[in-house]
Amino acid sequence: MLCEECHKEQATVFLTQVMNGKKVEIHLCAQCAKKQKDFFYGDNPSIQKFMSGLLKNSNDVSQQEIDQKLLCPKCHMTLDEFRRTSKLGCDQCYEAFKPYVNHVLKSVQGSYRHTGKKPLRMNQSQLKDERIEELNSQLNLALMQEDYLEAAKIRDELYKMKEE
Amino acid sequence: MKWYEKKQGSHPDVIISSRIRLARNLKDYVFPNHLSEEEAKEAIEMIHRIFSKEKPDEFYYWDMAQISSIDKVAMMERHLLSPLFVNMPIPNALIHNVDESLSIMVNEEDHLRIQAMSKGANLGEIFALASQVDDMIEDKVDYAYSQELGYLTACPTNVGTGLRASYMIHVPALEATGQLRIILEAIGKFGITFRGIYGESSEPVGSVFQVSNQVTLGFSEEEIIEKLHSVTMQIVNQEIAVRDSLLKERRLEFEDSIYRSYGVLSQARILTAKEAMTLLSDVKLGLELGLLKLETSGEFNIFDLMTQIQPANLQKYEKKTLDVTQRDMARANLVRMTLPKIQGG
Repeated sequence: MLCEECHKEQATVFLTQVMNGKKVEIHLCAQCAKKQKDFFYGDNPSIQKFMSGLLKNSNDVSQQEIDQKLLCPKCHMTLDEFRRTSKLGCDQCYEAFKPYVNHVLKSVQGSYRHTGKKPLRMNQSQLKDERIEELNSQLNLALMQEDYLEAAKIRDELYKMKEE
Repeated sequence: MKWYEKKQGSHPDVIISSRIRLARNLKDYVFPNHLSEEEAKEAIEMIHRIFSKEKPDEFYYWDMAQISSIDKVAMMERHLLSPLFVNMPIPNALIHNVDESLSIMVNEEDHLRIQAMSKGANLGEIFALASQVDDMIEDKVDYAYSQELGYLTACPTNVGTGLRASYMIHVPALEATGQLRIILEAIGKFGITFRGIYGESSEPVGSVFQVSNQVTLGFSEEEIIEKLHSVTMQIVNQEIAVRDSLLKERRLEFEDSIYRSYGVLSQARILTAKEAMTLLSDVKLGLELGLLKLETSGEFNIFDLMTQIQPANLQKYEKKTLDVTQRDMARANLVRMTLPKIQGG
């Protein structure tokens, strides 16, 4: 098992903490454990911070608890409601519950990418967005190659498109 | 004349009808499951305005609150409405053209369910019709759409194209020989589903099934339709092959069972919907195989009769409310009167 702090060395120090009634195990290498010694054995209040930082990176129970309280900003639907009904409350829910929606999409649709019909009117603005993106990457390329003449040309075109 | 009264389409023996449904939502509103009564009315008004401005002479508008529940169920039996739409807790409305081949449910599971129907195998053509209506609406309102996931719908099972394409098929030979079960297992792998005649949870009756696409994301509308069509054609060809072999090998028993079914239909005084559907399915098959010849002027269509004998349509026909026993009697009467006599019989 690798150290949960540096993710490089083998973890040799196993610490068990009981926080908010939950048992949490932390695995560290000797080096990192030494560095954190003060946090663990001292009276330092930032131990809470250290712990929560570690928990954020794991699929721990606490993360799920945070997710349970996820709320869609537009329709105020909760993740719990989505799980119960399998229905979303508005277009923003797709963003708010993305990992969960993707999980469903993977099993029922097997794909994450729409390739069908597009709204005609929306196409125009999307085409523009795509063009701007393309010009931006051309601009970066020109700058990297120190081709300032080309870069200036692209920049002018970008200005023009953004003004429209 | 309604769409289902017209005679058209290819493979009319096995493929009874084709249906296309597009699910769409308005960007500025939450989905119907979170919509307030006021917002639901606004959404209806927005769509109503488009149709009364763009197509005032082609489409009818119905406020569902003004329609009796028996009429709603009768519309559902004709596939003009979904079962969910009959009992929506928020204001909802239906817009449809003269022959009911094109309809728009406003405030179903999604704000819009654009539907096109036709007899026989016609998915490509009716998709084009539904798509035109879709374009007309989209020109006036903003849809909930994401570049990545396409048209956003209340249920993730509809996201992307929002397209449900289905064929209604009559496969009595496959069902009778137990081959249907094997086919069902196989087609699941192609993202195709099988349901009874009245959708999601309905029990299959009269050997009539709906075959439709399950996957709506990651394929274009054309690809989805193409795949459904080719899978369905496999089923159709198999049904025809089994019919042929039944005719060759067991003609007498086959003929006998069809005449028995005709006998019960033409004489019975009480018929449940389920029994009538099974018997009509036999007669439909007998007619298609030429085992049974009826004195018709060409107007008689078994599938229309299958719709007319459903509980709500039957009560509409009788113009009164009937309890179960009265319905079974009325159904037997209607069938006796409608079913043409056997030629020379």
